[in-house]
Amino acid sequence: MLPIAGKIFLLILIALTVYFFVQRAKYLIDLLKLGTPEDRFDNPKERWKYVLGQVLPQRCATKNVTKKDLAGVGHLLLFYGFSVYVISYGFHITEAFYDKLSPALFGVAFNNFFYLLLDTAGLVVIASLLWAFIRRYIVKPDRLEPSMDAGIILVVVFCLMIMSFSVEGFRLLAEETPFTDWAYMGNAFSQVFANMGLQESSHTLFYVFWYLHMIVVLGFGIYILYSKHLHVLAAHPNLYFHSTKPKGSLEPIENMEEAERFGASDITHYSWKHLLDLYACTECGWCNENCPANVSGKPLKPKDVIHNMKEHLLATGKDLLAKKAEETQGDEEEPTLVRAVVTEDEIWDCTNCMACMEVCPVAIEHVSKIDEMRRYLVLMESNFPAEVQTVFKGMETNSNPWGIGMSTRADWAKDLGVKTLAEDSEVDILFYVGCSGAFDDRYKKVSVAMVKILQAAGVKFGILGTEEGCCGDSARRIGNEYLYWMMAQQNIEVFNGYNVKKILATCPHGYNTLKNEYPQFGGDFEVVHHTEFILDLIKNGRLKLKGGLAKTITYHDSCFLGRYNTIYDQPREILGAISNTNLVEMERNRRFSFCCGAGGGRMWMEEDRGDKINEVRTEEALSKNPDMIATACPFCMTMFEDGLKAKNAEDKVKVLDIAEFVANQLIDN
Amino acid sequence: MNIVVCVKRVPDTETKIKIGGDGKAIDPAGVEFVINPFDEYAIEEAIQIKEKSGEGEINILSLGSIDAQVIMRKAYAMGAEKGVHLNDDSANPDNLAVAKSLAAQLKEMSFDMVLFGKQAVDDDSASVAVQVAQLLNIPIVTRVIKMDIADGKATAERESDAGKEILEVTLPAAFAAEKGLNEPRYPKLMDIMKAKKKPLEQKEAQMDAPKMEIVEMKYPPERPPGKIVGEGVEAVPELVNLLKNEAKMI
Repeated sequence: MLPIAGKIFLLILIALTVYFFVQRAKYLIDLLKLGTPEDRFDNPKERWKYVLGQVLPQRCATKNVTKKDLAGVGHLLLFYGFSVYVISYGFHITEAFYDKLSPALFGVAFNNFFYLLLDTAGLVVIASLLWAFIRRYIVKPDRLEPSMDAGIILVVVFCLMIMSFSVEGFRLLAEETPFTDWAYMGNAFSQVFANMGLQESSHTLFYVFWYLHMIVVLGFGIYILYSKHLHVLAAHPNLYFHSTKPKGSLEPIENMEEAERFGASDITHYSWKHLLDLYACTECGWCNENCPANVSGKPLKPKDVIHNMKEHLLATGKDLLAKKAEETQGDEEEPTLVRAVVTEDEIWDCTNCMACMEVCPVAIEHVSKIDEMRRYLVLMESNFPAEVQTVFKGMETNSNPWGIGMSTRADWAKDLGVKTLAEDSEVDILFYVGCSGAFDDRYKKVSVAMVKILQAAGVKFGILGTEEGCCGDSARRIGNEYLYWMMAQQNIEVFNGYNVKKILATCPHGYNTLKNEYPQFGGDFEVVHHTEFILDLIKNGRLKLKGGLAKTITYHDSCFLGRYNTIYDQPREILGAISNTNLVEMERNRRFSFCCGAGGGRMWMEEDRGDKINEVRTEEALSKNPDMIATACPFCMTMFEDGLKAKNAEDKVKVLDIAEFVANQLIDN
Repeated sequence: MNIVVCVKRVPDTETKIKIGGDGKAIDPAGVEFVINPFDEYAIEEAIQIKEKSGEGEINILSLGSIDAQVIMRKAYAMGAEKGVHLNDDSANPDNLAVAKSLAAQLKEMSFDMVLFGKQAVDDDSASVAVQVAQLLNIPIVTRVIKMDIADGKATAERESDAGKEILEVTLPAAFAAEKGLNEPRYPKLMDIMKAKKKPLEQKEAQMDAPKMEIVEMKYPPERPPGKIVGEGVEAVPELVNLLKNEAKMI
């Protein structure tokens, strides 16, 4: 128990800490309030479940653990180790004011156990700090950039652990009745101090070290708010306020007719949750490591976008708050975020593959941030890669990105005996063909294969023929929400006109937007992807398959099928059902799958920065020596076929859609 | 600088044209209609001239059925302020009648320049612009690929099959835009929204009785199928032989 002067000193320390902490915290919260409103308060039960499910088992960090990258385990150790220390600091303070308020309050057994746990936790923390230190400054994996912040924290926490052991040691040496026998590190330190002849000054040294370590602890509490360790406080609310909408779905623009601004050009155009994202960033770099743009050497690095936005917010925050107070907050002439903080190249590099969001431990929403800036560029500035204009015009006039005459949309099905809903609307399922399936010469074959399968299984289906329109996904992802909205409206009207209930789609982009985004415009349909549908047909015995295809096949996960809709198993199960050989997996598969390069409207843009993403991915596939590459997406198919041509491997390796594999294996009746 | 841009609604170039039952007109079913692509260059140029000079206004003039107003709104979205629609459902094929009707309207408007596309991609007659200029008694430069305006004069570069001509004309004058004059802009959403509210005057077109009649429409002859003469070096002599003696290209 501290003397009265000591208590006052401690009180002053605590008061100062609280003062500076509250000051800074208030500033950070005020900055969040600069953001636009967004309702993330619904469904608290599910939200609590999510945040606890992420934090307690440290799923947030361990979900990315692979043989090559065990850092998530390190985080788990550090998290739990340090958590025990946070509790111990609580006891330190309470005990300082009233000595009954120590761990011994809960009995000797608890006390002993607590100190055993604490000392062990200290060792665990030291071990994980050393591990982190070695990784950061010796091993240097790509995803970690050495930062001052990280170094300071490693050193400070390390010192803190040593000080804590010293405090225990001096206390054990100074006090008549040792407070615990199980504090083995404390006892060891005490022994060392005794050997050093510090027995007599132990009382003084105990106080010196005690105050020193409390000052560090309290200072650390403030430092957190100024460093990347803000995530310690911001990650939890960020996880709590995570998006509960379908994964990766973009928000519509409300009241498009009346709105005065579209998309985001200034930091304040984002919602408070998007700003909270910035605080939550741990700078772990997992997003960078999995970003196809970054990996292929393009300017876009998702972590840097988030970090730069955070720095920008903190740097301009005072001015922004002042403007808000004077009610002069308005739109700047020149955007203060687009170009100034996030370059146009970065904005256009994104493939919307969502790998960054999938691996982000703290639920940051990178993709929608970038797409908001695209909306600004397209809708406010009409500023986008030149080649995209023909795509927009093609969609506007002929409802497909190539601008091919829409009267030819059903030509692929001419001799297949397929009926349109206009001819017969009494069907169980609508086959939504999509633009690739209708116009792309290669992918028309997949549509034909799909028809063969449906006919073989006796499914009562129909197509829309020339009444079908582009799903609009590419327009939306490029930022042309208006065009997307028109496409969606038109399609929903046609679907409803035929009282469509269930829709089958082959293209994951159409599948995703019909299923997850059309409900935003009142289009509620049951949408299935052909890989789901075909697997059901196989399982229900409705398809007779030869089986026994003796080829080495590697399956490439489409982003909009995999990460967006967690369809990973179905295509693999289908291939398993028809193939004799084991599937070979590429290094990056399933949720870590590497984009083909065509998502986010990149299908329609020149790729003139860095390496070609499709070639990077094709090389990865070729390294497994497959006979065939299986895809389930028209864009992926195009990207692989181009990649194989670039690698002179188009004669050796074939790209087939899952539907084609199945159609080729059908036993003719 | 006041500019009038004459625009025409035409079938999209990607549309598969079907000749209607009477053999004298196209079947409009399943046809998508757009602004005549050459007229888009004219609109863009007008906007750029206005942006540069910082004054004046752009008027859109279109003759045709009520649907012409759809493409006029697209011109508004690009940046034109207002316009006049001369309503005419007659599908009169006589370009002179069209030119007279446009000229009559233009006489009521104040302008320094009248811009056209070099031709409409539906009938490809390329005659209306010239006829209008004649009727208004103003100079016209056709197939313009570059324009500069200064001191009441325009310097225009026109492309001809033989090369380029650079002409100077005194305003008011007419110009017919060729591809390459500029890159027509994609409208901003705000401008699309504003375009819906801009004034559009509708008048009945005064049309002379046609002195021209479409007798029959025919498809172009089908292209004969291509021929693969072989592969690699061995195929070259045969290819040269065919190009020389059969195709008579070399």
